[in-house]
Amino acid sequence: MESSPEYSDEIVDLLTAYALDALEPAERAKVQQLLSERPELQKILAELRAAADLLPFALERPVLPPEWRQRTIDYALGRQRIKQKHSFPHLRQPWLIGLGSLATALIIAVFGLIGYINNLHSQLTTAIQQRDQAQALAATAQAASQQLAAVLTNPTPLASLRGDAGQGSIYLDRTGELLLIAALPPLTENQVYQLWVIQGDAAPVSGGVFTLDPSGYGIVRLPAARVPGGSTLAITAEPAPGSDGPTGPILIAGRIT
Amino acid sequence: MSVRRAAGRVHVDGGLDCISANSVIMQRCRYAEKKKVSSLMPPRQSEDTGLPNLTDELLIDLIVQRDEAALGELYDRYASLVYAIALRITGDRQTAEEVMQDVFQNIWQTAGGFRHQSGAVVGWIIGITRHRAIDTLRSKRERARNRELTGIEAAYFLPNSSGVEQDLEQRALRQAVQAALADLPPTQRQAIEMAYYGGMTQTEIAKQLGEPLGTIKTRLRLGLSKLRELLRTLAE
Repeated sequence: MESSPEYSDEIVDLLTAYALDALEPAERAKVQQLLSERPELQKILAELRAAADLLPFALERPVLPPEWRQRTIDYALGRQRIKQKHSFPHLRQPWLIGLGSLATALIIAVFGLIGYINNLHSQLTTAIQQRDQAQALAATAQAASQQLAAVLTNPTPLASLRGDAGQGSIYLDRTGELLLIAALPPLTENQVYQLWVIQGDAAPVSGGVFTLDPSGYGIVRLPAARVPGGSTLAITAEPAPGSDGPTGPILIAGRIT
Repeated sequence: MSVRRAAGRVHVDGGLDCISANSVIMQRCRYAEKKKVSSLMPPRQSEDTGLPNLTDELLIDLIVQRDEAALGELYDRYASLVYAIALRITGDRQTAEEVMQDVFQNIWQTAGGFRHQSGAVVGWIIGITRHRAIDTLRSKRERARNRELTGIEAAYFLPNSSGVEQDLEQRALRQAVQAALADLPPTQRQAIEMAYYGGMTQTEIAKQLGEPLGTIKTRLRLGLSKLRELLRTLAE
């Protein structure tokens, strides 16, 4: 590839397919391993993902029916549990009225099952919401990684966090905030990773919590003013939504020089 | 209602003073002032709330605070894009509308997660839409049939001739991306779209097209590389 002569076609092939979510699980694991060993590849991955996300901007945007706006907002806010279906005027034929009456009778006959069905529906709705939230969080992390290349003032990390569990790098972005990107093992349910700022003998201060994207990377940012030179940054796994002080072992740590 | 600025402080008649720390805080402050004042007055047009002037990130901040009007503004900005993506992926109008509703429900429920990770809002929304639409597509097992129908279904709604189309930046971006895609060899474009919109792995693409896997890898790499060059051009 002309724009990345320093990388082999094999590596760019893998990153391209990874950016497009076009890899099989085993191949994805291979790329995640590669990214953990060569963090500099994150930049090209972010660019490839951003390039892929240009595709929707080529689509013609339709004019949506005005009534969809309130309907969508009502649904989003939980004021409308069941999505309104499109109406089909041809179903309003007189001969269908009798059929409708029959359907009504059948509905009444199965009325006793409604409670059971509602219970199942409630469980299904909860499961769908949990899955959607997980997808949204994954998309969030992906979007953040896409912006990584654009916001860094200097691709050289200010500090590295290391440990048996993984590794991380600290960068300074254009707004003066510190950006931590860390490769860590998957969290168990109801856990988050928490960043701690430790100055001398003072108690650790939370620098924020984060989760991992599907690639196994997490991103968190905090104002540079909160991390004086000489501070130590450490990451622990904590019960969601985070702890007042570290309760788990330090997984990776590093010092800001 | 008038706004006066003096020595880093903004005063809105009938409201509180806002300390001018930076432009972002000023935008939020002005919105809060207008919202406070408007709550004492008859309903106004949405333009009066100042929401159209806020950045996407500030709208997300307001959504985290359960501001329904902010969700409405985000809908005005991106609903047509979300719907277009969902329709392109699912090929079915009703399914696309349902995906769109799910996407905005996700935004309402998970905006707090975005707020702390600071990615681009539009990229976040596109990601949610793709995941949701592809998941729906897979679950309904309608991939092949619906993709054939996409062109027909997309014509159901006439292209916008006012509203969104008046956004010159949006039109310029669309033309740039369309031109870049038109420059791609059809085989490269096809492979990229099968992966991006179809949610297919490169192995599945190779199998469906009857091509060697290596050929598909090369098509994806070369095609996305050209789009990446476009991205760099746009950034400049």
